Amino acid sequence: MNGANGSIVTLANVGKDYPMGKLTVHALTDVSIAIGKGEFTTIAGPSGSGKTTLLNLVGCVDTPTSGTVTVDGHDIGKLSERALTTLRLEKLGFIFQSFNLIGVLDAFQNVEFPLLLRGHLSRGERRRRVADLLLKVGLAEHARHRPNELSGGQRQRVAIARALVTSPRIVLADEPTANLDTDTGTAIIDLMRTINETEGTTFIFSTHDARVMAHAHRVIRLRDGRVDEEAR
Amino acid sequence: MMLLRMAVRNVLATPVRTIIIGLLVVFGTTLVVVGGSLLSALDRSMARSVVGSVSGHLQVWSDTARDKVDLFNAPVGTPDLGRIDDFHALKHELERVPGVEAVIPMGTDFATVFSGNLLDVKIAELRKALETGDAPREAVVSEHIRSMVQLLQNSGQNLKGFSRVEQLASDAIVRPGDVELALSDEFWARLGACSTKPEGAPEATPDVPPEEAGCEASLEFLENKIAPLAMDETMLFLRYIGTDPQAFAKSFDMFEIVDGQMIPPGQRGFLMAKQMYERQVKHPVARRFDQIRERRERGDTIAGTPEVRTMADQLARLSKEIVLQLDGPARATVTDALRAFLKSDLKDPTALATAFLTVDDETFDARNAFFYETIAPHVVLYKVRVGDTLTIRSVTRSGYMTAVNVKVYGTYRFKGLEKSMLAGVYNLMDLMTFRDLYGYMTEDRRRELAEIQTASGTRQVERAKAEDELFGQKEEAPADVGAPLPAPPEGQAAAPSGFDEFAGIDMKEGGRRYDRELMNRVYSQDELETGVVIQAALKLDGMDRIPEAKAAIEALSTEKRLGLRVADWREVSGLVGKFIGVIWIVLVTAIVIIFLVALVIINNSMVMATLDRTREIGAMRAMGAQKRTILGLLTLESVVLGFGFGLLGVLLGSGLVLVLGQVGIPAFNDELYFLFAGPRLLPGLAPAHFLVAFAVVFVVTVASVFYPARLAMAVQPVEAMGKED
Repeated sequence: MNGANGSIVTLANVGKDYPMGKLTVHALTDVSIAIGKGEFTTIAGPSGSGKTTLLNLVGCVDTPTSGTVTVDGHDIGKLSERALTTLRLEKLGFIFQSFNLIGVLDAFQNVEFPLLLRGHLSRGERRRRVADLLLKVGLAEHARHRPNELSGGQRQRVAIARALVTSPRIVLADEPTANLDTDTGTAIIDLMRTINETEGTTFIFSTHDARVMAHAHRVIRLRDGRVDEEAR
Repeated sequence: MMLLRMAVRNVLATPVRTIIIGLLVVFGTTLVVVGGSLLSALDRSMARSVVGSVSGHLQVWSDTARDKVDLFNAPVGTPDLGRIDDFHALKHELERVPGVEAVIPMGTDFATVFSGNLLDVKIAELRKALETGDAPREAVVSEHIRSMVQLLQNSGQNLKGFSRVEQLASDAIVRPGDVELALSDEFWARLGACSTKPEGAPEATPDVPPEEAGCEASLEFLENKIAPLAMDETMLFLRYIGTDPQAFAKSFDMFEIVDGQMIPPGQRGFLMAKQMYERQVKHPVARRFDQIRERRERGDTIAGTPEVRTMADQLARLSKEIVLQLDGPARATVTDALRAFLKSDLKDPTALATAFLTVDDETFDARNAFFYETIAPHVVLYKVRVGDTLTIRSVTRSGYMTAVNVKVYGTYRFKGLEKSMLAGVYNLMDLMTFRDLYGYMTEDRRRELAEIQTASGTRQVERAKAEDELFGQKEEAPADVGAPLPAPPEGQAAAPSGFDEFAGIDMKEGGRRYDRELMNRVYSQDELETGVVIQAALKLDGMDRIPEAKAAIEALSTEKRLGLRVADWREVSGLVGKFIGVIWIVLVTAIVIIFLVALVIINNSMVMATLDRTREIGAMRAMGAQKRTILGLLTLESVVLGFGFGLLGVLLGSGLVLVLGQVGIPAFNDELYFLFAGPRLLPGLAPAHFLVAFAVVFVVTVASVFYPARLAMAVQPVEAMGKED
């Protein structure tokens, strides 16, 4: 169900406005982008340029004011909230800027959480997958640690494992390194890149960190809600 | 499973808040279980007390009644309960109603009885000594009476001032010089000279003064003119149930005779309630000793408990009650014994007695024992004794005074309710006497009247003219029964009477003969049952039969036009019946308040938790958690909180109830004996209390999660994302 040109995500003339009191903020204006399967794409731009809005649309947590957003063949403007939720569960993985791990669950349980939301999987299968991913992100020994017992980088790695555990088509990461120091940030990006290469998962993430951008296949720069330039 | 784990951990993540909520919920559920169990137990025990002691399961009375049956009301007046004219027929009908085990005839009323004062008792003793020719005894008693009269004249205290004499004088009871006469040597010399009534001696009448009349007249002079001067007589206020004593004893299975014997089947008689007997009839000194002993047995002390302290103070002031009752030899005996016991060289009996009655915790037990062993045999321990004949006066429905003599066969109580004043409210009286007192014409009454009429030569007057015939212009007239009022029988203190219609007729002898005959008469069951009763108590074969039997009787009454009103024990027990209701209201209010507070706090805490976790919830939503998953999580948290602590509360409450069920809650005051149906209340667990507890917790949980859940479900997945800055 990919787009005609093999894209997994397509934005066509997308506009997004937020009412702000009496004013309307045009967060995105006439944005058209196509992102192919297996791409490792960075959305870059200064603060307020619309990076998060773009990710929200691609992440199916928001709908466009105008234009169409197609994610894995679904026009998200036409889906109900419930269907959008299901779409996120089935196709998407999220890595948040502030990790958003569930505080009362340990690393293992946090990673397991999306699998439980999905259901259908046996306990053994879940354990295998979670253990596998924790190993991949290098946290096998920290499986029973709660988020507050982990460092920032470790937390973000748990978040990555959690985003990947359902084998999503697309992983969205909103400034995944913003709350990390440079070395850790680089390590996280390397990890994502490795997974991108080995698993073929499409990564779309926003950043304004030049070193992070250096790892990307493609950088989409935004300025004032418009695509400023694209670089490969 | 994961949600549950999250819920539990979320609950545990905020320990202080959780503990506060937990304490509230635990307290609330414990209260539900313990309070519920206690009240159920109380309800059961009270039902047992009320049903088993007086009301029966149901009470039936006439629908012409203006008032409702209220067995524990304040006895301010006789309620108008109408009457059931033919008890026999009613019983026959009611006994066929399913579940009815027994139909007990009843009527309740109250009367005043003058128990007689000490002078009366002594004069009676003198009479007996004269009749039996016991000269030494006669001398002793005479001297005692004289000294008492002397005391009356000298001391304003016992005489309540001379106003008493003046008042009696104004009522034409005491004439000037009476007291002096009663103190004169001639009077006593003449009284001593005759041991039997001399033949032909004239009766004392207003025309023949006592000093000229015979012994009998002298005795009556003492009884009627002098005895009223002493004010130590007690007026007993008796509430009684007129009933078939046999049926009563059989149906109220807690009934037991304490002193004396049961009224023989079919005979007239009176049984005193043991409680009342002890409280009102017993010698005040003995009564105080008993009260203090009881309190001390309960762990109170004279030194430490103000109430007991007061009792002891009162006891110390009662020396006169002993000394006055002692005649010469007895006084000497008791005085010597007291002197030895107290190792005192006091001479004055009153001072000795006061010293003896001044007790503290150390001396109490020995003195209590000494009183009962050495002093009690010389005093009148009970003003009314088993075997005495009581003159009971009552106001009939139509408003005139009536009086009946009835023999006291004994005292009774309800097993397990010995200490309860409420269960000791009613004395028992046979139906025949009751009907007489209540003013219904029984066969005996008719016969008595006929006899009196024959003897006195009075004529039947028409009702309309009765007033004029009897009283001239007086306003009050007997409305119900047109016959003249029977003269007060012998043994009564002279009632003030304004006319002397019966003067010169040997009423006393006739009355005495009549009484003896009545008292020994045995009535058949038919005679007892045929006739008027006021109400009937119904005993059923179980508490659970009450609604069914009540409905059946109402239907029966309508169908056969019996004109009945039916009420269950709770409805007829007035304030006592409402008591449980009031406690229920208090308990329910307390529970409601506690859980309302719990609800607000849980709600608040969940709202806080929701707001704190907006990002977390947003992330879950972003990762694909549906709204209902979030709702589930919050509900689960609330449930874990509510039910976890609810269960703890229920367990705690159950444990408490089980322990209480073993140990029992002691009835620490006398009224509680009645409510507890015995010395201890033993609550038991009932599944209903658990259900109620959980239902309450459920409602609170659901209600408290409602608002935070709405908040949580409104959290958008966007919240998890970095803000557009």
